Amino acid sequence: MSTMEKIRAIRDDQCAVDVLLKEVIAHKCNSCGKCVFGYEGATQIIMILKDFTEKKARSGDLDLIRDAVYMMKTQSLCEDGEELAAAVEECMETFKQDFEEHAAKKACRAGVCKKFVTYHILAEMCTGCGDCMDACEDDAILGKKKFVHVIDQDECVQCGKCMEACDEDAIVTAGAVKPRCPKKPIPCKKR
Amino acid sequence: MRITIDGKEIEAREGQSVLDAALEAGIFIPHLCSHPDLEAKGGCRLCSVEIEGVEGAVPSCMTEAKDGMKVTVNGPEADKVRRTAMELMLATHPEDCTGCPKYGKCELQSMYQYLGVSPARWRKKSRSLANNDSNPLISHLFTRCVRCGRCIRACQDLRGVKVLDYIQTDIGIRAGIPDGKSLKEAGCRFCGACIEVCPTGSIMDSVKIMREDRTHAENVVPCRTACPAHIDIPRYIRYIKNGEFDKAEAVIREKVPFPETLGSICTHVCEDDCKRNELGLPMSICKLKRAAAVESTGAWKARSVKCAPTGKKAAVIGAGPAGLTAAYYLAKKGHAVTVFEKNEKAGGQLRWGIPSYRLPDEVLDREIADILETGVELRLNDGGQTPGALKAEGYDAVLVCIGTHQGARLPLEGNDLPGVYLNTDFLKASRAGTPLPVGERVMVLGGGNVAYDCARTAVRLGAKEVHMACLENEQQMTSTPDEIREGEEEGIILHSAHSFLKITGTDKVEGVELQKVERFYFDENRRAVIDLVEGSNFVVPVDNVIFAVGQRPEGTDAMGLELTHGPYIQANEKQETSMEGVFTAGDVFTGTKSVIMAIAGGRTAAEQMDRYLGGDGCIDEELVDKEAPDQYIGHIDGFGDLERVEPAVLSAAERASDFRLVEQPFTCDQAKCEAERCLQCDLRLTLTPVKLWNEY
Repeated sequence: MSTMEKIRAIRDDQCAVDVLLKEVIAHKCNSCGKCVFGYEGATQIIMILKDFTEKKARSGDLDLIRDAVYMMKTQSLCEDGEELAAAVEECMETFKQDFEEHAAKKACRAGVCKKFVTYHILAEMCTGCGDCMDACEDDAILGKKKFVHVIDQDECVQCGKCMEACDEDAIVTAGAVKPRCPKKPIPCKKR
Repeated sequence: MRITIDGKEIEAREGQSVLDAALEAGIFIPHLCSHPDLEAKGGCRLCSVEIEGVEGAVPSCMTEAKDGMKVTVNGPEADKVRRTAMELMLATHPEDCTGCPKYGKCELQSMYQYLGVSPARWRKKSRSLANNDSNPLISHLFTRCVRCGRCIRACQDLRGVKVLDYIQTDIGIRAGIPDGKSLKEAGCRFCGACIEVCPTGSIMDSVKIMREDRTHAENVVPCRTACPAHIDIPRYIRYIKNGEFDKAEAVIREKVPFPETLGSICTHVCEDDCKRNELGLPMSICKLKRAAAVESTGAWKARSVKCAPTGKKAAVIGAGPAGLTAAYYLAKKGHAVTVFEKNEKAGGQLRWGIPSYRLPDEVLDREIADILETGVELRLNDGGQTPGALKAEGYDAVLVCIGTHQGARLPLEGNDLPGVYLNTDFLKASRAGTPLPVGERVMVLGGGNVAYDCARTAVRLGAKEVHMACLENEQQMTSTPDEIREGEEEGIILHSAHSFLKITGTDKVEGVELQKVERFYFDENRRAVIDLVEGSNFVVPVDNVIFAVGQRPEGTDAMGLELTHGPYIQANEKQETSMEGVFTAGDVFTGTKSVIMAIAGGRTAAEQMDRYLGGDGCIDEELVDKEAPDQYIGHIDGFGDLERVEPAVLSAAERASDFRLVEQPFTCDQAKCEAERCLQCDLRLTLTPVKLWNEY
């Protein structure tokens, strides 16, 4: 399948940014080096998309990609660069919202990009044992014994250690749709 | 055809690119991946221009000029492409320009300064890797590679060596050697074209071979630089490789009138500086010179020019290599030259100092005859001339080059016993066919090449046991390793690191008392310090002792010239002595040096004297047309390890009984084979130099 075909086959459970990043990395332009726009253009697009997936986007990044794409389309040494530029362009057009949300460091709808995944403690499952609190290295979990613990999303770095520490399967991850959880620790129902 | 660039009409040739036409007309268009000698590829897009009737920007290096074409260099679209391209290149290029060996000479640096762009809006990425200095001669600093592909095109298409290519590494694509090979393993021919065309500091000459006191060309071709006469060595070796021995000899003769003599006995300092030393053994430059002279038919003579008579008269005192060289060039410049020689034959040290098993009379006679053919008058058996008297006789200029023909006698007990000889007397008598008698056992005192000449002559005169003793150890000895080895093969017993205490005997030489040297060096005041091993004295019983501990000029005190360091003639850098119109050259001026130094000195003397006599001082000749060498040298597997060809040498048993020539010249095939090893260091200097924007 060509890069374009793969872009057109993106499913709902895939993140368009993530798929595009992998496609650019695997593209011929990234292993040729014979022209500046094909190779350095691909290099820049890869670095920017990678920052998108890691929630490290900077303002103006979408325009930067568009600038690179424009040059690749008209100034590459061969059709490979033109094809890659067209695929990137179409992907950004088709999945405009996904790209904008990544660029604004808001969300990864598909829940693929790890840095956009949020962790939540389900009130009905938590026993208030405190194991997750002990495991968290960033002090991002609030609570006390026999109270449902709550993850402070501003402090959480999505390392996933709390999930491993929980024996009750009370900790879940979420993408675009978040579970309903208490805002502050409340007494546990489950004992 | 005519094209217009930014409103200015210029001439363009059929098939020429817009970029080349512009640059040729002195109009600068930025460019990086294009090089005048390499096929344009259009990868960098710095040369983007706009053309009337064509949409967008196009690379001018890939656009053929068409009659009436209207080109705009800095249109908005072309400018945007050019700036973005430069930004992207800089985004992955190291920022530390000042720490780069190419600083100030880098095309990338020059180009971004011209454009005034910064990569700030892009992501920075460093593709850094360690510098690779493990290859001989060539340093790889690929952190700085911008993938312009010039080195690859030079190596693949221009040279046909096909060693460099784009390679993929975990930190990205760059120029390099595929499969992790070294340059030697890959079959590199070390021609240096990659270094010459690299716009950045990615491929550089190894630091240790580049001397700051030399020009680029001098550094690039070190053999030619090292040769005192600056013979165009790579050029004649290339002719030998192609079997064109006449042309090879002509190249040599453009600088020296003694090709076969030098090919037989030169001290070849050129070989010490040959870049092949970094790969293994140096080129056999000296022996190739001999092959060129032996195999040629003398076609150079047809091109040899003699100027119309000037009416000036020049006298040369001493017919050694310096004097004969000067006489030759002075005669060619149209002056009437007379050479006065004390001995019955011309040649100086070549005739009387160097044994005939290294340089036979026939070779010398032949080359001197060529010199005399220019009309030089040679007066043999005519010693005792002085410059003052010659000037009074009507000579307009005089050259004094009487060499150093008096051997030194050390102040040892028994140094004047019958049976004690001096190097100069001993060698001269042997060469004259009236050798001094030698007994069964001979001791030569000294460790240089002349000492070996004496010892090996003694062997040939029938001595059964020949000893040599010198203060220096084998590493310090000034004789060449070849000489030491060949002497050993002939049975010479070497007592290196030994001091000579006295010559024993009452009415004739009976022996030499030696003592072992612990340490021999020169202190900070350059005074010799000799530490002896106590109690290590012993006497070597011998019938003759030959002093071979240096030689000095003879008779300079009668010349009426200012002297220096005792008997040596004082002169300035123009080789002018204290007497007007009197010049000097060779050993009597420089101290005992080499034949090639004397010839180079003879050349300088001829230039200066010609100028003094009203000429232009130019003695350069073109004895063969300057031909453009083949740029395509091709790939040779294992080129770096090709072994030095050695000529046939008579076995010690065959050679030690008479004065037959020890070493045979290369055969044609041997010479061609050896010539093939040459790195052709000069070839890269034929590449078109790239001009930076500020040179337009």
